[in-house]
Amino acid sequence: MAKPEAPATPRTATDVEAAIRQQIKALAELRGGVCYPLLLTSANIGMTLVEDVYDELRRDCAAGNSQLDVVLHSGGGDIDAAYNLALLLRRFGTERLTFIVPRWAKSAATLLVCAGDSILMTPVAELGPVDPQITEMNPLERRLESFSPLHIESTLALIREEYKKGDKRMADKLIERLQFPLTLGSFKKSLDIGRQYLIKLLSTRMLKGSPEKAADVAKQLTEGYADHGYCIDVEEARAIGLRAEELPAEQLDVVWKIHRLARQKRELERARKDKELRKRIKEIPPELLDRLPPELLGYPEQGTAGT
Amino acid sequence: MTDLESLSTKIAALLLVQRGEITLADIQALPFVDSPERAAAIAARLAAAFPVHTYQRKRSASDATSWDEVIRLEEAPAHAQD
Repeated sequence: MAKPEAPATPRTATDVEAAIRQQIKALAELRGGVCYPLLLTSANIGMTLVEDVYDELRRDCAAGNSQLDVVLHSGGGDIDAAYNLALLLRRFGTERLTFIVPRWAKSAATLLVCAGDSILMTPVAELGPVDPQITEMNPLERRLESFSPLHIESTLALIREEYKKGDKRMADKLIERLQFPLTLGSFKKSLDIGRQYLIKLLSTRMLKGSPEKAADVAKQLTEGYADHGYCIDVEEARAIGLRAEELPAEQLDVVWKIHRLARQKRELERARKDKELRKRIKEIPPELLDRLPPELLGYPEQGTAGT
Repeated sequence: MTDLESLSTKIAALLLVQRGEITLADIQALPFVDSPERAAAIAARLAAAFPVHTYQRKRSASDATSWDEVIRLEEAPAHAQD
């Protein structure tokens, strides 16, 4: 294998963007078909994103090319939007839909890659579990906490155990901190949404003709991992039943170059933003502090003072 | 929440109130915000503290990596960027 070239060092964000475009074109030539970059370094998958992607695909795939490769980098986002996006991409990649993951397609982005015929990954690419994350305010520490509905069962087991051991006081305290039962029920139900979407996507394309296998993969992705951050590399993806392969050498070089350039662009933009923000911060009138909610200023919240 | 996180959150909140909106990229560029996870936590804190809606906006049509996550006050001031 030829030694990969050192990453190019374009000077400005515009230069880097041009270099990314060039590499996308090179990848499309190598694979034959349309190559669509979806590199979400500063945004999540959401409904307005779906509309923008639709506009772009209508423009780029107008010639009727039905072989679509999507280069995806995303930490996730809204699961309904991801499913919506999956259906949209399928309409354009009718003959072939491949997801190419340079580094990250986590959470809702993992659901998205399950919509394709196959997944191509670099040796450091990661997919992740599709258990929804619920963000709630921790009233004691006054900070937001994310948790998975999978933790509800283990929490209930812990409470049962305390009652069984006779530590009623501890168990009562834990019960007091729990959510309203209907809320808990709806959290648990949110696991089913991910599993249903996964089964629907997998059983109609990547694992067509194997509904049991599709159901097994969906169960594994929604309930089979202890932590939302779990790293599902190409080997693990294959082991659980996904059609995932490592990128061939020539394509790997190009895909990795795209990833490094996207990262370089993010750094350049961050430096530009930094300058812009310094200016904006200096312009903030002091009276704006009065418009911040007390909990952000660190004042005691109404009704909780002195307790 | 650490003191530094709290400080970054206050600055982010002031920027949100100043313009009526703030992007995830703005938050990522704030002092003491050293990871995407921390930026996401600050964004979630703002969404919990203010009446906002969140959406994705394309920065320019020719750009491959140009989506911004925008957090916008429900009643943004008239001079807020579009």
